[in-house]
Parts: sequence; C-alpha cells; structure tokens
Amino acid sequence: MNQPAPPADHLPPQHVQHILAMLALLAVPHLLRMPLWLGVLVLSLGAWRSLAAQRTWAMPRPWLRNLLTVLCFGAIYAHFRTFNGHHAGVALLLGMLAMKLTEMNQRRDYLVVIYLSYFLLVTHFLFSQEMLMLPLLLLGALAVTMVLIEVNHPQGGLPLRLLARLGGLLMLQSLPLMLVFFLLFPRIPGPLWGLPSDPGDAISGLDETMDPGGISNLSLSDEVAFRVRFDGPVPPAGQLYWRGPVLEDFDGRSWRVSRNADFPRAVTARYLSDTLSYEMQLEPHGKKWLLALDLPQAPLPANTELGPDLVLRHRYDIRSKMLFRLNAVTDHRVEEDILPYVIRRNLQTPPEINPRARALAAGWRAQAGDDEAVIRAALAHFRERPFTYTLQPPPLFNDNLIDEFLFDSQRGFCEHYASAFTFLMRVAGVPARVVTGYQGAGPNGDYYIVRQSDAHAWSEVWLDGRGWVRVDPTAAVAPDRIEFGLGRSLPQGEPVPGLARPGRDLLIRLRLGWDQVNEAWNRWFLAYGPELQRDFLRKLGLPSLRAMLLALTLSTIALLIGVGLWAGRQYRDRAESDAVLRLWRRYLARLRRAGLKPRASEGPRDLTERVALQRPAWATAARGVGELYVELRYAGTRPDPLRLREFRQRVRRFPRTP
Amino acid sequence: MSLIDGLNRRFEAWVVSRHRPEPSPQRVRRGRCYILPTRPGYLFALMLLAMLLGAMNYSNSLAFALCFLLAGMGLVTMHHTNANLLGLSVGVPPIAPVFAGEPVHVPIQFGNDSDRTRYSILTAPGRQALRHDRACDCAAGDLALSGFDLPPAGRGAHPLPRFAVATEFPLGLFQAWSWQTLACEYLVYPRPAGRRPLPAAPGRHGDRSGLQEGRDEFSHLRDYRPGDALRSIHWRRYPATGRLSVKTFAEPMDESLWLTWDSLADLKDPEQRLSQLCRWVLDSEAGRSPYGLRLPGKEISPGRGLSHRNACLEALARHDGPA
Repeated sequence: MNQPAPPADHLPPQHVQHILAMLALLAVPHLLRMPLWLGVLVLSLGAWRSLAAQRTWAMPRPWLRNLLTVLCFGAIYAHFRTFNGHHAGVALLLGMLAMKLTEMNQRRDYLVVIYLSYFLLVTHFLFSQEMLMLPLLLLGALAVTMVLIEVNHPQGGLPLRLLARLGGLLMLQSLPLMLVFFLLFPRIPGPLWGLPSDPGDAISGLDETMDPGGISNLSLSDEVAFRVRFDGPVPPAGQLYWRGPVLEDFDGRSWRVSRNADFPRAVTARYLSDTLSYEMQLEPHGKKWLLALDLPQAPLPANTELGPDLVLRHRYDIRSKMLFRLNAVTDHRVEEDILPYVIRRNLQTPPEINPRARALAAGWRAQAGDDEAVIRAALAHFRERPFTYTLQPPPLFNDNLIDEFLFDSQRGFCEHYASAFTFLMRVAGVPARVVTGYQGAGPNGDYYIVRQSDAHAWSEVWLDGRGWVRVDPTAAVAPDRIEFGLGRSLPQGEPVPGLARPGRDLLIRLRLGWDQVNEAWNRWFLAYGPELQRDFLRKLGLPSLRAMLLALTLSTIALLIGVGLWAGRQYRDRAESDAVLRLWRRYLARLRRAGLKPRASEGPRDLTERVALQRPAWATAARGVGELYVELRYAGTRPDPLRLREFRQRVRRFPRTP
Repeated sequence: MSLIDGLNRRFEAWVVSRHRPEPSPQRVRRGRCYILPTRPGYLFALMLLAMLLGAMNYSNSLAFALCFLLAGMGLVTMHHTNANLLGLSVGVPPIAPVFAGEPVHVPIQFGNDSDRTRYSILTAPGRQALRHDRACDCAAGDLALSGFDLPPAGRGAHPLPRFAVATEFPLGLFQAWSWQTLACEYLVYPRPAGRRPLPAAPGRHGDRSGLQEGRDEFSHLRDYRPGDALRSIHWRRYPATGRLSVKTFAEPMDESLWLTWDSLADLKDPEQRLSQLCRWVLDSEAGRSPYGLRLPGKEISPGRGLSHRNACLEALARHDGPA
C-alpha cells in the first residue's frame, strides 16, 4: 500500500521507446542465432520496459534484479558450457543488455546501454563480413548515435528528422577520419590471443570423411569455395588440382583422414616446372586446410604449414574470409623416404569384401611387370568398359559396394571412381590413397572462381623413385570433366548447378557481375591487413612506420582543423556573416581609435553628425559612409552588390574620400 | 578516477585565477572556453579500445571500420560541443532578493546571435552541480532563460560568485564549459525575527500639540480653489466679503512610525537588531500607518508600498554601520 515514489526517469517515455526500437534493430538479427529461451527473455524484458515507460512503473527491487541476472548468466553458461567464443559472448552481451533494461532510468544507465549497443553492433561482423553488412554498419551506427543525442537532450522535443540530421552530420564528418585511420593506423598481424573455437554456423565444404554421394551432393551447390587471381599465365585446366584433405583410412564404405597423425617432416621436392604465383580469397569453411594448388612452394603465408600429406594448413580454423598469396609448382617430384608404417596404412583394406574386385586386381598384378603397368591396366579398364559419369548414380546398399559399382551399376561420380581405383590399387599391392579437393576454375573478369560444384576426388599412388603420383580415374571416364568442367561432362538432362552449365544468359551474367563487386570488396576492404598496408604505403612513398605515424597524425590534425573551422562558421555571430555589419563595425573601430567613441544611444545618423561636428575634415567621408550604411542596412532587401562594393571602398579609405 | 578529479581541480584553480568580474552580459569567448572529456567520454574511449583489440584479434575489417568511425565521431563531436557554447551571450537579469536562510535563485539569460540553435546549455555555480535535467535550448537569434539556486547566504549585498555555463551536446563525450564572473550582486535581507511590539506612533502618546480632535479643529480660512469640497466652504462669510472662503482644519498629528536602530539599544547583537527591524518593516507594511526607517548614517522618510518596503529592506541588508 505504502509504496515509495518511483525514482524519476531521466527521459520521457517516448525517448525510452526510441532506445528500445534501436536495441530491437540490433538484437533481432542475433536472436535468430541464439537459443529460443534467450530470445524470449530479451524480447519480453524489452516489452516490459516499454510498458514501464508508458505507465511509469517503478524499476524492480535490487534483489529481484540480481536474482534474475544470476539466473540468466547461469542459463547461458549451462547452454554453451563456456563464456568464450562468438555465440556465448553475444549471448552474454544480449543478457547483460536485457538485464540493464530493468535498472535503466538514470542518465548513467542510459549511456551504458548505448555504449553496449555500439558493441552489440560490432559483434554482427563476427558472423558475416559481406558487403551487405555495410548498410547495417552505417544504419546501426546512425540509430545508436541518434538515441545518444536524445539522451543528451533530456528536455525532449527534437523531432526524429532533426536527430537523423545531427547524427548523420557527425557521421559524415567522421568518414574522412575513418578512412585515414583505416588506411594508416598500424595493423599488426595475427590474433592477439587464441581465437576461441566455436561450433559456428553450418558451412558447406569438404569434409574429413568421404561417403559415396558426399561429393556429388556438394557438387549441386553454386556457392563460391574460393577465388583465385594468377599473377602470370594461367595453367591449363588439367593442371588445376586444388589439394584438400587426404583420406587414407577405408572401412569398406567411407574414406577418412587417418587417425594416426604423422610426425611432421620437412618436405623436399624437385620442381619440374616454373613457379606459379597467385592470390587466393578463401571463403570460410570452418576447417584448417587452405586448398592450395598442388604443390605449394615456399614462401608460405604466415600461420600456415605444409603437412607430411602435402596439405597446406592454417593454424586456426578458417571462419572468416581470408586472403593468401601463394606459390605453386604443378609438376613436381616429392623426394622422401616413405616410412614402412605409411606403406602399410596405404595398403590396408577391410578383409574379404569386394571379392570380384580383388580377383580383377590380382589378374592385373599377375600380368603386369611393375606398378605402373597395373595403373595403366586399371585406367584402361575404366576407359574401355561402359562406365558413365553421372551426378545421379543408383544408390548402393551392398556390403561389397565397390564390386557392385565396378561390375553392376557402372554409373558413378568422381568419388566412386577414386574410391574404386584406390581400392583396386591397394589390393593389387600398390600403396594408394584418396585426395579430395577442387578441380578446375571458372574465369570471371580477371580472376577465377572455384565453386563447390568443382569439388573433386582423385587418387595418389606411391611409386618407388617417383614418390606420390596423382592418378585421376575420372579423367579416364570423362575427360571433359577435367578439361571443361562439370557442366559439359554430365549427360543431358541431369540437374546441374546453374552457374556450372555452359552458356551465359542474363541472370548468370548479373550474378557473375555481382561476384566481381564482392571480389573487389574482399580483396581491397576485407583483406586489408599488415601486408596490403605495407604495399599501399610503399606506393604512397611512406615506407617506414615513422613516416606512416607522421602521416596519420598530420592528416588527423588537418581534418580536425577543417571540422573546427566549419563548426566555428556554423555558430558564428549573424553580424559576422553579414558583410554590411562587418564593415560598419570596422568603421566604428576606426572612429574609436580616433577618439570618437560611438555611444550606445546613437544611431548611424547622429553619429555621422557628431563626427562631422568634431572632425570637420572628415565630414564628407563620414556622411558618405553613414548614408550608404543606412541605405544598405535598412533597405530591407539583399544589398545591391555594386553599392556594397562602394560601401567597402568608402570604409577602407576612410577618412579619405574615394 | 581520483587522479582525474585531482587534475580537474588543479585545472579549475588555474582557470579561476584568470578571471576578473566583467559587466553583464558577456559572450563566451574562445580563450575562456575549456573542454575536457566527461566520465562517459572516458568509458566510450575504453569501449573503443576493447573494440580495436577485438578487431585486431579477429583481423575483422568491418570491426576496424566501425571502431574508426566511432573514434572519428568522438573527435568530431569535440568541435561540435565546443562550438555549441562559443559566442553564446550570458547575462544576469535582476536577482530577486531573499531573506537570510532562503536559497537564492539566480536567473541566467542566454542570447544566441548565430543561425543555429544551441542545444542543452547547462548552468550552475560549479561544474559538479551541473544538472542535465535542467538543460535549456537557445534558438537561433533568440533569448532563453535558465538559472540556478545558490545556497542560503547571510545578510548583506553579495557579489554574484563565478558560475559555470556548460554543454555536453551532442554526444556527452566532452564537456565544454566557461566560467563567468559577472559584476552583479544580490541582496539578502535580514531574517525577520524578534517579538518586540511595534513602536507606537508618537502622535498617539503624550507628546502632542493641543489639536487633539484632529481634522475637526479649525485652523484658518483661505480663498476657494476649484476642487474644494462644498462642505468646507464658509458660507456665512460670503455675504460679508463677497468671496468664497474655505475653512481649513489642522492636519492631524504626524502618525507615522519611526523604526529606529537606536530604539533597540538593549539588543547587543547587531544582526538581531536588524532582524527585529526587518520584522517591524514587514509588520508595518501589513498595517496602515506610513513608516520610516532610521539607521546610523541612513534615514528613509516615512512612506508605504512595495517599493518603499524594498528600499527599507535594502537599507537593512546593506547596513554595515557601527553596531
């Protein structure tokens, strides 16, 4: 009954609604990524605060608030099992903001909420850095700034349009500063602390396991896997094998990356062709491998290393777009002494399955003189028998999948051929393994796009004296796949992702044009880091860190002086922006110096007469100035430029007459 | 934060040492306008630092962009805040006097001769006392009235202490302020106190002439002047002289009260005497008789009405004669 009066709110209810609207704009895109209960909590607290503003309800008691906060943070920890990582971090931030709403009624609280909102805005870019996020950045920053201005004007009454103009003006004036900071603020390479590993959103791409049908599913996607820009001539499509995970363990159905990690060894290779240099814009795929062109050559990019399986890996999972400069030699010999256990692993097959394939391989082995002859026999088999390359192979359910594929269906996609070929090699006594990755590249403008539809699987066999040699059985069945890509090599009537199909209609042209815009965005904006900064500054003629810092400081100061001058002009006295008044003041100052102090009660006419009386020599000049002043000042129209010029001359020459 | 407070205090001491009282109104001049980040401003900078570290850690270009945009805004807003105050004219309209023990309201009038509205102007006796909910706007080419309360002061004429005019608009990251020392004063009347009865009008007691009946007492005759009451014409004398004569009566004895310093000689504390005189002035004003005030070195002849009352109270407030 006897409730204490609620503490007065710093802001009128309407302002509170604006803050809540701004928060909704920033929070709702995140809520889709968050557990449902958190979304419900955030939205209901927002709705409660909105009602509380309208009905002037009191904020809850501290004990209730603290209990709610502890419960909320506990629930977040229980859900994510950590406070580290993108998702848990954003959940924590949303929880803090929602809790802050229950004690938001003083100026301080409003400011805290608004600064946290700026922070909430930046967390969106952890999840996506597409060009379409730029409008969110600008719009979000404007919305937060508008409510910040409103909090600093608690007496209210600023229409939204005015707020938008004030906020927009501030942002517009800080854009040049942003550009200067972005280009010249020293960038340091690499993460400062470990990047938290996050479950992340589902990202398509190659996996560490290959099942029958896995790659053909991936091939139905138009998504960009990476983009490539070659420095020199582009190698023929048949040499463009982008190396992904190497699969060595076979269970009769799936191929997997070997669970037994190899000791890191230095790779020595003999390079038989020229070095190719290129730039790769890799889309995030959530794994560590880089999909470098086979075989990467030093110098390797920062934070990467070439594994014993010749796969280039990054130190961290690739969760954002990255730009790499890479070198490769397509024709090479890896010179290494293979270890016995590696040979054993690459000869291992599950016992007793696929008896017909085993018999086939045994036949080749009996006839052939050496391993290379066995390989030739196998490729000839694929070439001469009626095998079909198709994205829609019949499903295989048998325990002897490879027998069924080789002798019954004879229809398959690259993973079927790679899998069958590798199995045949192993049972024939040739160490062999499956390599997955991408094959080929589609030109677009002056760069190349490699899409998920270019995903591919091939084999590698170990030949004494030659090392691991790539053999692509798909090339034996469908040579067009390697030369011209997927769209030309599939039978008519099969579903092919739109962009892999030959021909270029308008829609495809538009999509490719949009891709070029995105490519430029990735290349110039997203990838701008220490390396690009160094290049840029070298071109600018600022090679040293000191020169860069000096340029940063000087341009910042220059821009700020510009803004200061602008602001000074905006708020200057009306009299100062009025040429007539300014000249008149100058004239008065001249009289003052001559000892004729103008009196406050004196109009221009009286003053003129007094000057004429006290300084008869100046009478004509004073009358000239005085009459012209009265004419210009009180005529009520814009001053005639000719008369204004005359006035200026008279004032300048006073007390002489012009 | 105590380091910042300490620095602020030292800075203010230096600023104050530069000021001499100036006539009202004054413009906020560039050399007299100071600007420092506010506490929220430091918090904002801290948040930007966290954002920058995050952007570096994740090599996130959009995060860099937002961080730098906000940093740029933080710098630009400094000029906006500063310009919002520069050139504003600050004047003090007459300050209503108060009795000792009451807070003094100091009205402050802002004048804006520029073409842009100046938003959220604050004023207070000190920077710590600035209240955001008392902010006022001053439209382009217009005047605006604001003000602040001074704590109760003792009796006397006090010079208006220096006060701050400030703004944190638009983002609240910086506070631009200017100290104004305007040559104005405000009056604090003595606190009305004391239970002594009003001194009696001398006319009512012994010291009277014989004219006890007041206006009934005939004094002399004089010639008629237009406007004289018919009742007072001496008709009986008209046939004898042929002129209209008018009877005049003696003015009643001077009934005005004299409130005198000397009548309170037994009160040793001069403030107590002034308080009693103040009480008497207020009581006499409520009564009917004219009253005069006699202080050492100052005399106000009897009268009545608000301006007379205020003149008396002012004399009491300004009194600094011998006790």
